[in-house]
Amino acid sequence: MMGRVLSFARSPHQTTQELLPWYLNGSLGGGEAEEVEEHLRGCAECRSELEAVRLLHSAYIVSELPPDAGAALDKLRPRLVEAAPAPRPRRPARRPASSAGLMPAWIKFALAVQFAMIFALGWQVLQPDRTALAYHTLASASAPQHAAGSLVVVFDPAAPQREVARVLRLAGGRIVDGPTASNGFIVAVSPGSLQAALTRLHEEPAVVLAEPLETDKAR
Amino acid sequence: MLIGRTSKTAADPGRTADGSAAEGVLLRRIAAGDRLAFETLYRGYFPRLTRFLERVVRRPHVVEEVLNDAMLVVWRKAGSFNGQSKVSTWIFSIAYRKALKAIGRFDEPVESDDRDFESTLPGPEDTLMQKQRWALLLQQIGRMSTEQRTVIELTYYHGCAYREIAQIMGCPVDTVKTRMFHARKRLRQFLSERAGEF
Repeated sequence: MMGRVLSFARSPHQTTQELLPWYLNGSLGGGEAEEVEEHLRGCAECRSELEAVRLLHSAYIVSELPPDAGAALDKLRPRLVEAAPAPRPRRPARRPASSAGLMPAWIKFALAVQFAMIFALGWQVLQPDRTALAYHTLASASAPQHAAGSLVVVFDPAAPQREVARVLRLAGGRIVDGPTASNGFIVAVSPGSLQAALTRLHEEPAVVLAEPLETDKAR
Repeated sequence: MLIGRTSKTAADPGRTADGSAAEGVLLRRIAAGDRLAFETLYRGYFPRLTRFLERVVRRPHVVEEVLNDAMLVVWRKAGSFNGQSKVSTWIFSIAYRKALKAIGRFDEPVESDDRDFESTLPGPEDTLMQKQRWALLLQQIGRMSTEQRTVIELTYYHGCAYREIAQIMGCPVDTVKTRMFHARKRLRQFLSERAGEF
């Protein structure tokens, strides 16, 4: 029974019912979100269903620490050596092999210098990116350092983006980093207004957590 | 009534929409045998894939093995990535296939267990009632089929669009919607049966 594909008649009501989870996660495109919103305005049943989906969404997105990739990667490394990447199926047309032989020596030298510079630049560009894609916790050694006036703020996952923007404007803060794996954002506030911003953030229902970010010096 | 959508979640495979070009560059470097590029990609995907595989495979002792098998395919086949999907969708589809293969090696179904979700329970600032409610909901999800759990995980945690989920799972988009529909129906029934507790 579970494997049977339902035949969805595309009435606005049924379309809305089936799309609610993706409306809530913000991934609808091609006018679908607008269609859902229009139907929601006039349908109490779908609004009720949206709240049920929102509850599940909130329960499902919860904080957890990211696992450490190091140990698992150590196990994979020997296998990388054994299994070299397969060549691309199609390669762009190459220049005739003989063309290199026809180059004057100075062009070969210039090309060699150019390649060396490209490699060096590429290396420099890549180095800082080494952890750019990795998640970090606020406590991890690799986490960027932030000014002493920074706050760590966790918003309700179900809070709409415009609500988050409104709260930030009221608190006089701006997001400077994040999200961390636990959905925390680093929010910078102007010097001297830390306490006022905290008080304001704590009053907002969309804010789950707002705390000053402790620096190493502060600990 | 104010009706709002959430922004994409932190763990969303598609959250690097701006970074997908960067991931494409990484894949090209990997195809050329660049180990540093591979390790960068690996570290970037490790938390998301671990979480995804924990929920799909539900056998903690094999998660790392399945993840490494999937990433070995990424290492070997980076040159065959054709750019018709996001890099994240391609990697998750490989991980999903490896997960199904691993599940196929086990005959017995995994019974839902509180321990499955211990690490995901909310922090101490949440009320006991909230914790219990969320734990019950998550247990209920744990009792669903692999396919339903996968759709829920990719939608709610990773913020995927239903079309991306269809690509990852290798099925039609209507099948994705149907799986979600049945899963939600089951959860609604569960919630109504326990209305007094919620």
